[in-house]
Amino acid sequence: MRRGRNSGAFFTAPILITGVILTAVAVLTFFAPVFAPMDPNRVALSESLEPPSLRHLLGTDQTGRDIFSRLLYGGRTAVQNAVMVVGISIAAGIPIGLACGYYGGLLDALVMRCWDILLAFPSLLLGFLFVSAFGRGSVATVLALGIIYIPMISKLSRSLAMTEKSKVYVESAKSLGYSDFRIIFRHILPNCLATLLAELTLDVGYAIIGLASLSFLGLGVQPPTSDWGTMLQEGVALLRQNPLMSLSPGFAIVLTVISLNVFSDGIQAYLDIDQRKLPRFEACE
Amino acid sequence: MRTVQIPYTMFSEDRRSSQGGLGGASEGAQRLNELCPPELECLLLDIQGLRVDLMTARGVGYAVRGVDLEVKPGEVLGVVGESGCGKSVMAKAIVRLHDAGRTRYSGRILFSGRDVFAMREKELEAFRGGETGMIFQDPQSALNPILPVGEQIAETLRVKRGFSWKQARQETCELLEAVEIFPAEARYAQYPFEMSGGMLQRVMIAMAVSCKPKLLIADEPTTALDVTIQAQILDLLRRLNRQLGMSILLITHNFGVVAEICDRVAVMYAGRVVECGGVVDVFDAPAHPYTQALLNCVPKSGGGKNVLRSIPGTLPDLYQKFDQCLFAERCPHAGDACGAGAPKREGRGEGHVVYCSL
Amino acid sequence: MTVLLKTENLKKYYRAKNHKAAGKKNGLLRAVDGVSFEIEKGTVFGVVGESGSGKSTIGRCILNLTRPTAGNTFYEGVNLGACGKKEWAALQRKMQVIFQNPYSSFNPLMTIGQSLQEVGRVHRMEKREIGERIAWLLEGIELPLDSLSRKPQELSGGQLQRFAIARSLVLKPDFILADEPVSALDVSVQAHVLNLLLSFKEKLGLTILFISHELAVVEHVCDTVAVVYLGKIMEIAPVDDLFGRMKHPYSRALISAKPKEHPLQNKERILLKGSPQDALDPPSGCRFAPRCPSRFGELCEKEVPVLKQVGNAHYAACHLYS
Repeated sequence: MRRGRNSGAFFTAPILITGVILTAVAVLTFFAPVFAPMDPNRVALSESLEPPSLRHLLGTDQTGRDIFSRLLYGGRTAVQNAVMVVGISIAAGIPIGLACGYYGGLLDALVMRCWDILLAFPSLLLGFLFVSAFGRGSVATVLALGIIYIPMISKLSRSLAMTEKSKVYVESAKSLGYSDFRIIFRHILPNCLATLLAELTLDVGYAIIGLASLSFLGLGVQPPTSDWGTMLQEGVALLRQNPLMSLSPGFAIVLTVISLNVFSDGIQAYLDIDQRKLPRFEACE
Repeated sequence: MRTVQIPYTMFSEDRRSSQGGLGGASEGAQRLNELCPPELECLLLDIQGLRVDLMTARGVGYAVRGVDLEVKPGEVLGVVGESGCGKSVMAKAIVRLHDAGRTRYSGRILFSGRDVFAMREKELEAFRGGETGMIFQDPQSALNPILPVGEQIAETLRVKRGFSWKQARQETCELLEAVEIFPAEARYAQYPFEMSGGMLQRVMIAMAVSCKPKLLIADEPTTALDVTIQAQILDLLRRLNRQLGMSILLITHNFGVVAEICDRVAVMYAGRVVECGGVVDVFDAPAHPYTQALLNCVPKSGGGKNVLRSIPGTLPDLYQKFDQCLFAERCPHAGDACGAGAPKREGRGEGHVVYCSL
Repeated sequence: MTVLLKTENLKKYYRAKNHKAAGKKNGLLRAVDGVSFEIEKGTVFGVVGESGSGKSTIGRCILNLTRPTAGNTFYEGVNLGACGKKEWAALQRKMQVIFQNPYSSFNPLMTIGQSLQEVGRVHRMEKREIGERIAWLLEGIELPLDSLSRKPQELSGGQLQRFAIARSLVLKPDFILADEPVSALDVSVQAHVLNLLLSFKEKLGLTILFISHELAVVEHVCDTVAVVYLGKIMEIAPVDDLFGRMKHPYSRALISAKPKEHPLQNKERILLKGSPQDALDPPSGCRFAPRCPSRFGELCEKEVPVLKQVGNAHYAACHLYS
């Protein structure tokens, strides 16, 4: 694949739109204390289950807490935890995967069989296992999901490393006397990074959903800390009284995950020259 | 212009009779005169002012910039040039093989007097593979890896000539024998991965000639093959040319291949033909500075350790339009006339033309 | 004349895994099967052969890019297979490679300058020294200084291959393995790259192992040539002897298959039947026997011929000469 100097634009419409959405989500949730109109845990029983108003943009829940503020803070927990999940899987998965792909042989065979076992494990089961070991809370669920994601990222980086390894520049690096460490991290990794980036973006989305489902089951983030998953769960019982209680975190999750998926597709389409839309000539003979 | 239908020998009739080796070019020229007397103007393929613009990720590439070329019935025309000179793009344009929305053709291509660019989709389908056959550089990727080679040839026969399976199978075996694949019956059932590159190229040739085309377009047919295999394949192509009276348009970057089997040769540079003529004329008296330079680059045997010649400079930008001579920048004889206007077409003896203002 | 590099009975077998190998003799692919030769200092030693002859594998084994199954390589008398890590690192600076495909032999994400500098940095050269060396090399390959800031995909094949030559020379090696260095290039560029390589050879007194399938190029560049077929050396001879007075039937067929240089040239051509046998299941006697036009019976099919001297520094492995 050869990329020219001015080969097609990166900023296509889908990338631009989802990019704006994702930036907004990131800024709003990360700076939740700045943007939230009030303390998410402020209880005011007199204001319970209010519909949206200027004071409460999305209304209040049964204890009178402001849903909009809880949404922002909840987003902060959800996004941070999801990024941590992916962080764990990167830290372990990429180096292991690259090493397996580069060296091959027994190491590769052993590690890959381990991953197969891990992949056969239902993530919920592992979640329960970790909760029983570390107690309820976000630490256990983040760890559990992080470990579950290691095999996927590891397998991807392995196959990427195997492709790169067969290219002549790697062989020439070897012939020039470069160390294996240098070849793997200075030459192979940067050339895999683009594809990995697309995959990791997608994984953040999956992690948000995975964490939300664990929280929904009461395994993850514990009340009163706000989190999209727990908010969803709290709202279900009161769906008739105030649908916004569960609809707003639900919508936030869907919007973020879709944006992440489309953004990831955009990255991939940019990398794959054949997929990129070229201008066409006017109808011609 | 008068077009003359050339009678051509049927495949199965004289397949066994002649076991030809490679003959000299003069023999080919003589044969050409028999098939196509010079007083009659008869052309199989007549390309007039062909331009092909390709849409790429970097903008519009002017791959072919106005080519005039003629193929007479029964001759082998070689098109030589370096990578990026547009020779393959031109070859594909003859059967309109380029992606329609991303290619702009202009000029005319007449095949037996019919305009290829005016053909409808149905006509074009019959034209491709019926009146023309095509073989490519890499036979491995041109064949379906999960079907036996024999069935792939038989399929062509069924689709193109309406044969039954049984007829097609029999004809395929005859074709395989004709391209020297023995034993045909056993090879029929083999898969592409079970065959060597040379063998696969023979299969491709069998497939291309299965409908008895009048023109075989061979795009670098021996580039991926070893020299000993290359010699076999060229021998086969020459024999098919003789027996079937089938014209061959041979695209190559190798002057050795041209010397081996071509009757006439056209030299291409940056999307244009710079010189065209009988193969002996061009080798003996190359008229265009580019042809001269390119022939000088070929290492000669017995030349000892003297320094090889090369052509300084690089190809002109594919993405820019030009009028003037494109070789002028690299040309040792370039003068004032070269920068102004298109190079003049000039005749040099019989059938030898050169596009140079000098 | 001193011998710079010497191989002894070099072998490289691969264990074949695919289904094609099923049922074949022990499923071993004999890519290189007992190759011995000596390269004299300051000469260009050519290895020619068709695809699948194992010529590239020979080069790879010598530089330890793949570990040979058996056999030894000696560089200035030091056994490369048996030397320690430190010694090997020092030797590696002396032996460099130029690969066939210039487009993929540079890291696509680094500029050419970064790639060249990295070589020096990894081997602990001083920054100033690296700079001077690169400037000197750039002059030698006739490319401007500003081309260093280009990425590989912005350069033509010929330019990249010239940079590949420069990169192989940063560490001031004595020995260069050139693995099909001009096969991917156009003829008009080929000549330039070959000329540069040869002029560096003269200037620096390099010894070159030149692997190629193009006979015309080999004839022009090499001093001594080894012809390989299915992992075995068929003939070794000084270049003029090989192209003028070749002894082995395979060499004769190979050279006769070279296309004509002029359409009117009359060439006697030996058209070989069939294609090379599978290296998975090589013939038990002479590797070339099944296709050989001068085969004379059982001896050829049963016994593997050894290299015999047939002239001045001219060796052939054929029963015709025993």
